Amino acid sequence: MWTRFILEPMLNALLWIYAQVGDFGLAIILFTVLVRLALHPLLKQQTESQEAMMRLQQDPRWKEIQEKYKNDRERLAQEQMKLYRELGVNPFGSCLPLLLQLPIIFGLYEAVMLALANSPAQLLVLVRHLYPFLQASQLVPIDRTFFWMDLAQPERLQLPFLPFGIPVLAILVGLTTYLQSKLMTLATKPKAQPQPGRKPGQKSKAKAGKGGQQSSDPMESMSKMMNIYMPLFLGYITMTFPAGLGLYFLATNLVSILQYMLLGKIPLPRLGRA
Amino acid sequence: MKRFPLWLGLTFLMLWTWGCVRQPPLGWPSLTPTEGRVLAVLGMNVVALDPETGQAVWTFSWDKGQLTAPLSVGENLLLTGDQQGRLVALNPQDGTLAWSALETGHPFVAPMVVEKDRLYAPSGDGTLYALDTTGKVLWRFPTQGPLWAGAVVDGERVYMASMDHNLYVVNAATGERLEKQALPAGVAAAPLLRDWTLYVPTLGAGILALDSETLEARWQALESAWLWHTPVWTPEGLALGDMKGTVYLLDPDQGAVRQKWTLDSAVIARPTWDGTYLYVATEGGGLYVLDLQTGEVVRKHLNPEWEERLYAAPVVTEKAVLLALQGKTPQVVAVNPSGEIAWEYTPK
Repeated sequence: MWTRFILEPMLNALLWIYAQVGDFGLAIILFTVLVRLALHPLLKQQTESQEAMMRLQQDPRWKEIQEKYKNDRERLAQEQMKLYRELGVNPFGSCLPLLLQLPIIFGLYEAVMLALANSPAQLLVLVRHLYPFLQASQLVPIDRTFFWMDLAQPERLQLPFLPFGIPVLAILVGLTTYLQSKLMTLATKPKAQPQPGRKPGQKSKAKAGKGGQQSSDPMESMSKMMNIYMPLFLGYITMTFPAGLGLYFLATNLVSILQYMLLGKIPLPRLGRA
Repeated sequence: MKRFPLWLGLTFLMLWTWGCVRQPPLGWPSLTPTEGRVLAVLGMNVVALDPETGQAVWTFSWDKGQLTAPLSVGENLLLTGDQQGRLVALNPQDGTLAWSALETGHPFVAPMVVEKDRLYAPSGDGTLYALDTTGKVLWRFPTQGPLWAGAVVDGERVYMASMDHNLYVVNAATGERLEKQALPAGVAAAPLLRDWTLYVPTLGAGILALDSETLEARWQALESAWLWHTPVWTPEGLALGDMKGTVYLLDPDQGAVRQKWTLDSAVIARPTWDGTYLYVATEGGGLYVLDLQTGEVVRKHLNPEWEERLYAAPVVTEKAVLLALQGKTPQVVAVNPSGEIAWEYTPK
């Protein structure tokens, strides 16, 4: 079922684009853009749900029940559900779109890897998944070069004056992943409510930095940890896996950033203060 | 909900791992018969087996990666290659490492050719390397596509079919290009040179017979067939199987089909001719013994445990047929004429 309904349609669409443009790197980028645009409504719903959740967590009633029932988990859950209903928030509203995206993202990853067949054994698997309208014998092997990269190999830019290669793609993936996570945090953060006795621009205690208190919100600290962990993780994956995958990560990150901008979630002046 | 990012990260890692596991293997195991022994390339191991008992005479383990090229036998050298494009030479007496050369970053999947004091190694990076018997590179000949087919050496001419849809003739001494002929599709198996004719199996355009001097096409047959192995020369004609599971016997002069057999599934491995019968392994786990004179299927063994595992040419001995089985743990099995397993070998 996975192969028939996810992998094969994606693989054939990707190779159809390749047949039109004649460049596999470009085909990966175009295909990623198309898939991300098709998933745009889900992203929109996810962002709105996250926003609603964040707003709810700022609600005084939420804080009150957290404090009141901190020793009675069952009652706490009941009260939380009541509040969800009252405010019209779906607690799974942000997870569901994300879960729906996952098979598509991983299907795309598998399609890219399969298309870059690097031996007869891998080519045999590839041709079995191709639809008859693609002239497989003319299409294979895929031209794996994109600028200086071999899309089937880990990417390094070799410069004549350096004894080692620079992992440009891994650096770009790391940077854009960091930027994207940072923007996502900004996009889902509810707009700051003016607090009595606090001047505009003054930092809250939770964000007071070195001298101040650490954030007490475990979700926020976890989110901060992931903002560091994910860029490093994806950068490492890009450095060690074929460049085709790194290109997909990079295109995904750039399109996601663009999507957040299109959703109006990232007012550009806020970027400087991120 | 508080642990959502952690949960998401773990899910990502899990699916990632799953995605990696589904990557198809780079190479297939292979068997190479030599005097009194059968040499098998199984994953990261090369093993010399006694074909009677299945006992290992010697084993060699390559800790740097999967060995992806079939073993080629020279006078004092055994050659294979790995997934990172390293050429690995072994001493034939005891299987110890003689030397290792190159690291192209692309797998060696084609068999090397050892001719006199020179080695020809087609690489997945699209380059044909000529080396001496110490591993020193003598010349390089680049093409535009990966080289998955073995080279054919005829005196001072080296024929090299590439996945770039071209056949090249290269000067064996200098590596200079002598001729180039466009092909209708890529080639993943070595052409067969016989009586000044080069029989070239292609992926998706059947088989071509070319004049070995001028490279002019004499005929083309089975025009849309995907052929993954070198044709087999027999007194009855040219034998080969395709991806749809049909085995053909062709007239080598005209390309006309003399006989054909429809088997259970794709024929990827090269069939073996033992002087009497043709032994064909199919992807669906079938081993067929065909009489080319009468057209009769003499024997047929279908073993579900061999499904999607038979990609290596069978080796026929007096008492059994040896098969190399693809898998997470590759194996060699000896099948006797009644279809029973006489012995099996799994590397430790």
